[in-house]
Amino acid sequence: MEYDLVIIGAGPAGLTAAIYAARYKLNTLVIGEQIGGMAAEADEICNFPSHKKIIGIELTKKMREQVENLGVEIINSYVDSIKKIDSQFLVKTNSTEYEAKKIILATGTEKRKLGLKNEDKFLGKGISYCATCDAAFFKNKVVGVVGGSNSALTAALLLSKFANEIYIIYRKNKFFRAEPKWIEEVEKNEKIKSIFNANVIELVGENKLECVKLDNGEKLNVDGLFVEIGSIPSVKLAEELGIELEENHIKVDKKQRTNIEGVFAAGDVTNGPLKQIIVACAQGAIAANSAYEELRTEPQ
Amino acid sequence: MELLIFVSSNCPHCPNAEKVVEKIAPEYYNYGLSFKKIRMKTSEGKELASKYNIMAVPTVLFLDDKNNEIQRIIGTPSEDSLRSKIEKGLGLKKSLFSRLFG
Ligand SMILES: Cc1cc2nc3c(=O)[nH]c(=O)nc-3n(C[C@H](O)[C@H](O)[C@H](O)COP(=O)(O)OP(=O)(O)OC[C@H]3O[C@@H](n4cnc5c(N)ncnc54)[C@H](O)[C@@H]3O)c2cc1C
Repeated sequence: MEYDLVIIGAGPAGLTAAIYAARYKLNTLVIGEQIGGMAAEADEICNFPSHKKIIGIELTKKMREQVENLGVEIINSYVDSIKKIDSQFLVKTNSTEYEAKKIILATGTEKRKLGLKNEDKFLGKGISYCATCDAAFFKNKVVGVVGGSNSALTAALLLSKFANEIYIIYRKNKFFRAEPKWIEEVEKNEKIKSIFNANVIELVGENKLECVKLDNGEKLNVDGLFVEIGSIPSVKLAEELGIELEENHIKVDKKQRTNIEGVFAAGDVTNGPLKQIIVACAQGAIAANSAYEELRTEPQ
Repeated sequence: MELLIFVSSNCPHCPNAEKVVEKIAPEYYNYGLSFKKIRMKTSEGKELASKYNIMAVPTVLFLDDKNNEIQRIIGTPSEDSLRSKIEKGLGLKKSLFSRLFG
């Protein structure tokens, strides 16, 4: 099946690109492994205009519904490869091939791991990378959160609704990357204690996580550890296409064009300065508009 | 053998995991596999989670005929890994696909 536009990624960037593309009447397909993307993992989103407070899964469900109401198909699958053949693209999932005139890469990011021994062994047995998914399992327990970004602080705040004690373990001497509003809420919360200038160096336990060792000599007995130490851009497909990267993010111009003709990129996977939903949406809109302008002006 | 998939409504990874299990499990019904979705917010969900020490969603739990845990998959399984774990659990040595299609 041949499409005008295939969008890879179904997070805020990809879904917004699809809304614009549909309204430009482009024959569009979205392929995404996790519909809603990272935004679906956010517990409370308080900085997206029009919603004072909204759960990530709710916001992304609305985006998805808007795309589907416009008649764009969203395929829930992983894209294994994209090949450029003359001026067309061949997009492959494990079961199907799709042809496209234009591509938007909106592949976002993946959660970074600690890289410690036992990390995989304790996955689901104390270690978690998704506080919205797993916080409720830690009622009346003691948990650690590793990291100092917005997602670490919001994970700690969410956990404080269930757990008795929460320790934020952060390698810097104060929170400086997170929004001041979240920092204020963490500091006010009596269940949350912050341990600065510390890294987790060992995960200890028999059948499940029982204790973490820190590089400041401390040992913390915990039932769970939530890892929120940032994310890595998903650039595998971009690299295979020969797309230029900047600090491991896809390099784009003002029109969200990459160095490969016909391939645009949007959202957290790009080299933009602010990794947030509203920015991802805006870049998705620009990318769809640029694809449309090229298709409109190219000889058929 | 029975597969239980533990899910919750605030877990963005759960719909995907459910989809994979719902697709693959029926291929093995004739070999004695059954499958049930367990929602964490129900009392059954809470009871089973505490019995089997479930600490994350989605989790796919493999139980033998006496309801003992054989193994578990945390997170969304790939179709291939789910197939091979089911076949191992059911004692099917060769993959079902190679049986069917040579
Ligand atoms: C816990 C948490 C809380 C957050 N809170 C906020 C907040 O309050 N406000 C805010 O503005 N931002 C917040 N963010 C950041 C926000 O989630 C991101 O900026 C936003 O999701 C980026 O959107 P995106 O579409 O670029 O990428 P993503 O949301 O990462 O989506 C990427 C998409 O690409 C798909 N994908 C990747 N590779 C492939 C492939 N090969 N084949 C198929 N699909 C693929 C993924 O499955 C997914 O669908 C938060 C993030 C986290 C983790």
